Amino acid sequence: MAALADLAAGTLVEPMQPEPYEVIARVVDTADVVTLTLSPRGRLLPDTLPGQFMMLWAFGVGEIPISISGVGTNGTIALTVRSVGAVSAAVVRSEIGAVLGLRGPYGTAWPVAEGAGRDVIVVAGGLGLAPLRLAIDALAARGPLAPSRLTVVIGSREPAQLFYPIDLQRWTAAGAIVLVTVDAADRAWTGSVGTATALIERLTEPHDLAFVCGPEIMMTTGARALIASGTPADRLYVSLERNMHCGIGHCGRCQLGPHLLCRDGAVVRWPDVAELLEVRER
Amino acid sequence: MTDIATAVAAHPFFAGLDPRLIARIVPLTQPVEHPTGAWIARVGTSADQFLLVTDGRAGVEIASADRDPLIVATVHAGEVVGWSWFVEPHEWHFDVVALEHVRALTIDAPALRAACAADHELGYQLGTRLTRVIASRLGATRHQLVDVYGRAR
Repeated sequence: MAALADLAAGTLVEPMQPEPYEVIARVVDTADVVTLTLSPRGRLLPDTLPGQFMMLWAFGVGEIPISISGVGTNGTIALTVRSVGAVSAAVVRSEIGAVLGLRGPYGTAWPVAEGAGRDVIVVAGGLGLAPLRLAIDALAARGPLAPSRLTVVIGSREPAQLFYPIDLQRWTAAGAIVLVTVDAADRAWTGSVGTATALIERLTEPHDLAFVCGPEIMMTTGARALIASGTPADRLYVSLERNMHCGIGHCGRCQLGPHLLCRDGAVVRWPDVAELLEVRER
Repeated sequence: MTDIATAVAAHPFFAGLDPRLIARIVPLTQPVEHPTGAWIARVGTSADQFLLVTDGRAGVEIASADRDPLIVATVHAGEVVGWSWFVEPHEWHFDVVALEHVRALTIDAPALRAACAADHELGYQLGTRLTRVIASRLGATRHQLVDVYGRAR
């Protein structure tokens, strides 16, 4: 009946229909990654939560799932995209004024409110920082929901591949402990060199709550290191990607064991997926 | 306990080590400082010191004539610089440079090896702890080789 009412009111939402969004800003993050700010040219999509994703259309090419890396005024949304295939390449090539399609937001969110008064660690590897960006913003904001301590560990291949350098400074200024490590560097680099997991192992104190996002190898080893240092496994969350296609739990392409990750994820509790990540898929 | 004995016992590498064995190490140990930019070890030279970092940051560096030096690992407070002193031919396989002012405990490596040969419990304990360091760095190196931040293949 709600659909009929929506139809009568002209507010019926077709879940597979993208809304037109215009590129109003384009930041080149690295050689193959850009962050696009998109502004609605049609219906405003619902508010997003940290960790959710959008289905992004490059019209005439195809559709891909992309994590939301920022929200702004008047419904603007930031998406950070790496060129890895035909659709993402078309998106990355989009210039200011181009119109892309969005539907969403979809999926679960980082449980930021669980961090209130707790010692929180956020671990991001490579482009895994994008889905965590809004969560870190929320955790770094001073207020009644602020954590007692916020540690942000960021791993990257090399200094030139680090994302959102201004955000790193902003989070540090807000009181977060921001630790960055790269796989290799020259002497100009003032941070650590080594894996994110090695950096976690250096932090000997346990944390109350952990959010981890990055390559699955990094998430697996990082989660184990966090648990070994005393972080409770049931307060450890990771963000998983599979082949999200419909975004609404119908097509099953993003299935991981009993989970449809577009609906039950991308943010999931570590104990719910730890064993599934050990299963070889190819 | 002397200051050095306290520092040796407090270093994470020696955590839980029997005080009798700590007492064998202390006479072989001295505090040392390396200012920023100083070489701590040079590839091909004799690894005659075992360094336990207590403050600062050192970089393990690979250099060749055809490219700029590349730091492949950093060593921080509470960690140790290498195991070349323990393994024949007792030569450094990498350069190590102080990226920040490094304060450390340095142990006379030939004397420590002799002590290990004379006291197998000491040798076993050091061998076990160094193996843990090697295993950790091997694991990290494998993940760096995989290039986890690159595109999935």
